Amino acid sequence: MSNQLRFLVVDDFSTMRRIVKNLLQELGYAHVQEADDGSTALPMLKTGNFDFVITDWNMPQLPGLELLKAVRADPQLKHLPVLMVTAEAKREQIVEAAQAGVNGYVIKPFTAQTLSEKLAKILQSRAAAGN
Amino acid sequence: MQMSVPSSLDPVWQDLRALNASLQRTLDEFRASFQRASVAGRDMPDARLRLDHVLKLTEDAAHRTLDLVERSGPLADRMAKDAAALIEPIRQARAAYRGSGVESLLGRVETLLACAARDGDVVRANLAEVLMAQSYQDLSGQIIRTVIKLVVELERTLSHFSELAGERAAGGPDTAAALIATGHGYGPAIPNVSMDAVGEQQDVDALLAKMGM
Repeated sequence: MSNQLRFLVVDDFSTMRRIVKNLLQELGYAHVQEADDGSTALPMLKTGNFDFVITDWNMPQLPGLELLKAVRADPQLKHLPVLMVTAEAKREQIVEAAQAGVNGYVIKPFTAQTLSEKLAKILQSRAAAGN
Repeated sequence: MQMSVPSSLDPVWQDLRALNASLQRTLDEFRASFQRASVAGRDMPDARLRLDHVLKLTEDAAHRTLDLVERSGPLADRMAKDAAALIEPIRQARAAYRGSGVESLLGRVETLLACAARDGDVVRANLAEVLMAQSYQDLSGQIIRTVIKLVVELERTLSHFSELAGERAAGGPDTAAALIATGHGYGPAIPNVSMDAVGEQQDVDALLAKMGM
C-alpha cells in the first residue's frame, strides 16, 4: 500500500532530483514527479495528486521553507508530510524549519540509508497517528 | 608665492613631497586598473561565463553518469537474478549426471553462476554509490552560483568605482562593505572561507578606525 504513495521531489538542481527519484524507485516507490522550484511545486501540489513532498531549501523563486509554510497554511495541503533535503545546515535554519512544521530534515550530502530511514520514520509516525 | 621653510624641516618637507608623489601615482594606477577592469568590461563577464560553463560541464557530466547508472543497474540486476535462478537446476543436472564426463563441466557452470549472482549484486551496490556520488554537482553548483552572484556584484561595484576614479574621487566605505556582505548568507558552508572573510573585514575595520573613520 505505502508503495503507492505519490511523491513530489522539489529541487532546482536536476541532478539532485534525479538522484532522489532513483533512490525512491529503489525503495519501491514508482510514483515520483519533479518540480524545479517551490513556485512550480505549489500549483502541482494543489491538484491534490501527491501524498509526500521532498524539498530542497535554497531555490531561486520560492525557497523550500516558504513552500513548507504555504503547504501548512493551505487547508487542503496542511497534512502533507514534508521532508527537507538541503545543504543549509545552520542550527537556526533547522529550528526554523521545525517550527514551520517540517516532518524531517536531511543534510546534503546524504546517504541512501539516511533518506530511507527518515522516510520510514515519517511514515511510521503518521501510521501511528492514523493518517 | 612660496613660503620659506626652516632648514630643520627640510627632511619632513621632502618626505611630504615624496608622499604626495606616491599618492598621485597610486591614484593614477587605481584609475587605470579599474578602467581596465570594468570599462573594457571583459574580465568580469569572462569570469562569470567561465563559471557558468563549469556549472554546465559538471551538470552534463553528472547526467551522463546518471544515464549510464540507470542503464547499467537493471542489467546487473537481471544478470544476478538469472544466474541465481539457474544455480539449482544446474545442481540437479550435475547430480543426475554424476559419474559421467559432463559432471565436471556442470560443476564449473554452477560455480560460474554463483559467482555471477554475487558479482551482479556487488555491481548493483557500487552503482548505487556512483549515483549518490553525483550529488557533488548540486553542492558544487550551489557554491559556484554563489560565486557567480558575487562576481556580478563585483562587476557592478567596479564599474561604479571606475566612474568615481575617472572623477578622481575615492569610493566610500559603504560600497566596499556592501560588496563584502554579498558574499555571505546563502548556500553550503565552505571550510575556512567565511572565517577568512570575517578576518579581512576586521582588519579593514581596524585600519579605518586607526584613521579616524
